[in-house]
Amino acid sequence: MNCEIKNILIIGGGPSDVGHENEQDAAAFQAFSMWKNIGIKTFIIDNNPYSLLLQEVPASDVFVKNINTQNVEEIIKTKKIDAITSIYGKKEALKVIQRLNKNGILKNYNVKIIGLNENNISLFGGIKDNVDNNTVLANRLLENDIPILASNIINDFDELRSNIEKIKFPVSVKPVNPIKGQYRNVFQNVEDLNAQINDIFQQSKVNKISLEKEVGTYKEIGMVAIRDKAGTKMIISSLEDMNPVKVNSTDSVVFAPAQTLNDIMLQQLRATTFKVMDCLGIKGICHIQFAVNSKTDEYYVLKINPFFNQETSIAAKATGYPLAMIVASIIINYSLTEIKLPPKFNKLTPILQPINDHITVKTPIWPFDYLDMADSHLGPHAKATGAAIGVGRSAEAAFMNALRSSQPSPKDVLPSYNYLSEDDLIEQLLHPTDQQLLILYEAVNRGYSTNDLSEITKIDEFFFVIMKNILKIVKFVKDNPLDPKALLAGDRYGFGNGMFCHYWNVSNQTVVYLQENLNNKKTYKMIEPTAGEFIENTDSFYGSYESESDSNQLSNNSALVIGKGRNHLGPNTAADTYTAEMLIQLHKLGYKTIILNNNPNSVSLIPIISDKQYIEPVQLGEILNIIKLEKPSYVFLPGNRHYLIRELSKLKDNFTLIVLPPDQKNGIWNVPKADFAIDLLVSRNEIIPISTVGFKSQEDIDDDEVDKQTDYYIPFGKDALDIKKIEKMAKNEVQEHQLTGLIQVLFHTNHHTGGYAVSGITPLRITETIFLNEVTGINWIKILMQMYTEHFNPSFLKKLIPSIDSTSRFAIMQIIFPFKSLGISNIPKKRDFEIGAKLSFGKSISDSQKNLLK
Amino acid sequence: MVKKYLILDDGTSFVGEAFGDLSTATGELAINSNLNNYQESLTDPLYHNQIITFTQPSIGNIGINPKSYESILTSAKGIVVHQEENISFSHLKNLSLNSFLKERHIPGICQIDTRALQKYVHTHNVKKASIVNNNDAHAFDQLQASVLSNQQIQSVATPKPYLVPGSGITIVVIDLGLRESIVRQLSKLNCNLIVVPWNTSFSEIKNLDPEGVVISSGPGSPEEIENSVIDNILEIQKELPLFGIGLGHELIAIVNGAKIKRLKIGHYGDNHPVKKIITNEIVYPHQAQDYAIVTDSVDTSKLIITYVDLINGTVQGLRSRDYPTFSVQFLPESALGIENNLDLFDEFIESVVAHRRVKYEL
Repeated sequence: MNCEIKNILIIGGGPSDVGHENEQDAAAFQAFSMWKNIGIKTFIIDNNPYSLLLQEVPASDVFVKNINTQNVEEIIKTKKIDAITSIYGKKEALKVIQRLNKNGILKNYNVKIIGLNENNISLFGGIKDNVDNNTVLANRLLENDIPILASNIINDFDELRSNIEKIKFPVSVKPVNPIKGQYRNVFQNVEDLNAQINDIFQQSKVNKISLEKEVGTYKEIGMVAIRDKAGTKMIISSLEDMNPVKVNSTDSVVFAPAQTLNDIMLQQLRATTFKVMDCLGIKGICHIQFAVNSKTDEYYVLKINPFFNQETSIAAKATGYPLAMIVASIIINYSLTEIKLPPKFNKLTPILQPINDHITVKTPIWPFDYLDMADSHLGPHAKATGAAIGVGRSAEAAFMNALRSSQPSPKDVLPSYNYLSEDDLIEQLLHPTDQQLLILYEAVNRGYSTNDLSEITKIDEFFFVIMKNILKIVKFVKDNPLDPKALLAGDRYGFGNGMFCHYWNVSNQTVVYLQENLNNKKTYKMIEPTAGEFIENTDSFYGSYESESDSNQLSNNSALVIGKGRNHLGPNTAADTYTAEMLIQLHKLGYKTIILNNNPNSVSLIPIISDKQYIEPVQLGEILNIIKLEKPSYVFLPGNRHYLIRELSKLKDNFTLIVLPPDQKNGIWNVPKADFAIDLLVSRNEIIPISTVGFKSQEDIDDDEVDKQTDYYIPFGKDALDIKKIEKMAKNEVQEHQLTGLIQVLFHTNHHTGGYAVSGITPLRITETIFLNEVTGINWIKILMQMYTEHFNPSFLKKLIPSIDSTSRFAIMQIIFPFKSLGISNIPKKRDFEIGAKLSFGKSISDSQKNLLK
Repeated sequence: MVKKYLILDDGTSFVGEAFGDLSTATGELAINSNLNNYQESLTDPLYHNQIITFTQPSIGNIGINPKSYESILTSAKGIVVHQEENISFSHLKNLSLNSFLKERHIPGICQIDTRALQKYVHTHNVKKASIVNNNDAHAFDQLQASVLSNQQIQSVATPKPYLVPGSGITIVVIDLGLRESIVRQLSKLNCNLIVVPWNTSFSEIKNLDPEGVVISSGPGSPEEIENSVIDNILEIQKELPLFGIGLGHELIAIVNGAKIKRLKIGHYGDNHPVKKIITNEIVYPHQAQDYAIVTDSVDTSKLIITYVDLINGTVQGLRSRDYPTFSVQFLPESALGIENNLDLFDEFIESVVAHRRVKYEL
């Protein structure tokens, strides 16, 4: 197939935030590798230091810049870009393209928009968010008989009165052009509406109100679909939120595929999805959110998202359909019948509509352990900072696996809330918080009928039946310690060995012994898109207890990398990219790589960067089962999993255990203060200084507390600094403490004397390791992998290292915080509260500071 | 928990647990990969004599719903699932999949490794299977010896004609195992429907004075159908616009000289791309077939191939060069006619109207 496109510019996703992890980066990375294979060059603009693309795309094609119209325009003017796309970015990316399309720049420089239809690009930005600007989109949809929630603008009191007969309650009422902020009221009947309507009219600058059908209690259903240039459309997956529309999808448990819709409704949503894509001329991917009422068979399109997001990630992970690779081909004008995938896929895969023989459940991960001052009530604004998925052969098993994946340690994932009073429980059911799932289980456990619970919560009764089934087995397991039947029942429902250990107060070994005696073996099922109809060789697996396993030992020379899983707060998206790099580098060193992880938005689970993926809870029982099957030569374990490190260390005769990313708790402090540091590579025989780093607090420039150092500068760049002396001091410190790997020695300057002293030594943090990669152009994770697998060549490295501080490039990495998204203020800007970061380069420190804002 | 076995005619057995009716059953194994349409499948006459295995792992999630019947009677012999959900949302709160199966005397087996079964069936030649209480030699002997009824259409089709009134065009529907969806679709187009038994003669049909005829889908092999049916179709084709679906499509092919083969594995799902030859459009219709037309046997001087399955190459649609006759292998009515590219019922009505005009001109 002849393709005229040679150079594509991707507008990146920017720093991670609430509702945005690495999912767009993961899709973009797959597009990059797909395009590379057919000779297309990818350019990327992004300021997210933790983007895997920034690590992997050749530096000359990366533009570390803020995502805005001016910066993109500059790239278009200087590089020969043939095509540009916003489907790997957030709203800002779309806006940039809309502006460049409008002002003619794209036309002047002959740049094609791909992934979206250029004639329709001005339509996007949400149906509901922006009633006034989107009437064109609303009209287009209505013309095509697509049901949407049309807004009625009411100009005055009389008009309302004459219309009141026609209004079907409940309604949602908003002032048009509100005096302050977004403002929305739901009314159940005329009396309530009459009581407040005066106030709402007054809230509007133009004395008008907008009246809309209220669907907050409807089911929220997502459809992820693709469409190619020939107009061929297929549904990748349906997604069902457990919570009704009024709770943001990011914060809801999500089931894939939809569990409670009948065939008729599914067919209607499917057809409507296709109709939307046809009438908007979408060539690429689309996620559509629907509000559905199963009792009345009504449904409405709420939102059209023609780009990669967290829902498209779930659809891809749940089905095993190579969604990102296929979409990357579709948008450069391949039809589904023309796409050639890597040889491991069945050649029919692109055109087969995905079907599955398993169920996938996503649970949200919350930041409230860290930020307990934030309001944890669930509503229209997303609050979850991460997600975990569980895959299983039943709704119950998938649900339990997801719950266990969302927990940091193996324990009872269903703790009792029996101290809650009846009133408090009802209050929590009506106004759910991040504790919702556990409250729902508590209510079922107290014997509330599933029907009543469904009435109170507007959650479909099916989900309560599932919880009831699970609780029945929990009780059975608790009441029958070591009973084979209890073990079988628990295994079937995805309890995991950790829960048996907890309930029965026995060791994992005992549980394994019982399972072996019963011949109740763990089996692995392939996550592939044909439900066993065709022979597929996808590399993703999940656990079940059945008769046949699809997974065999991969190789005699493999490395198992345990992912960090859940993203709550802290440097988690960075850890994910770090893990992805470990896999890429281990593969380059000749190892077959295996990853265990469960975050659907992660880059480390991208199928093409590892040889095998297990999507399972990151818990001891699961890890031991994988080790038993795969017999890896190396096991890499993140440093914060102390229990796992302790347990796996006991087995170190069988494999080499390497703790990486390192445990920050291994740091040794004289005083927990610092204003600069030096990064070093320490092997058994050598200490190689790499670079100085400067720190700054975003709180108070004079605050030296390490926790508050959230701006990083490389190099430190203070002229008066005696590098030789610092290196010497650092080397002494390293020798004294015998840490190896990437090490940071921190210094604290005495503001009175101007002198400085070593304040601490720690393994280099994950975020700073990635920062160091970007600044030095050396992949330090690669060096670490070489070191730990005995492939390290220090003299080669020394040639690569630029002599310290002589660089003419200055870099800043600045941490960003989720405070605004979570609606909180007056919180100290500490490293623990990080949700993402911004990166910038410049010719001097002030230049890079300027670029950070530009 | 009662143990049950699913045994296959090649000697393999799978162990599971009983649900639904506790009886035993023997049938052909059909693997269905649709999402949440277990009730439609159980009540669809084309599954007559079949044991349905669902690849979707959780079945019963939405209970039994009064709007999801394809017929009021059930035709399947048994069902095989991984996880059975005993859920009821019906108004009287008493109809779950489990109780429905009990009431209809259909045995079910759950906790089967349906993925292993699906993979096995695709690599081995399995036709018949039984749901039994013991997987001993006796059970296998009985399975081998069992002969499934070849009077399938007789068992499922209406014995008496009936009217589904409408204000529009009069259409005769020949019931070979009618799915209610066909009636729903034609009723939506205001047709005045007369559903007639499978063996209604052409002269009887003619006496009803319809403007077009639809031959429904149905169970079993088209080759076991009495010759009189074939003769009837031959006559109808000459005089009236004709639309065949599923089994009806296979019969129209036979009438026009094509041959039929049994597929190695039946296909029941909506994941295969089907190409509309004339426009090159690709659609994903609901398919349910054990038999297919031998492509080479299609006499292209008489028939045009209109749709083809891009996965297994089977003929999915035919049109007569000489008569206003066309047919599809897939089930277009399942998509509720809301999918623009599958408005075959509209196409049929257009062909009826066009034929009427031709007649007047003559």
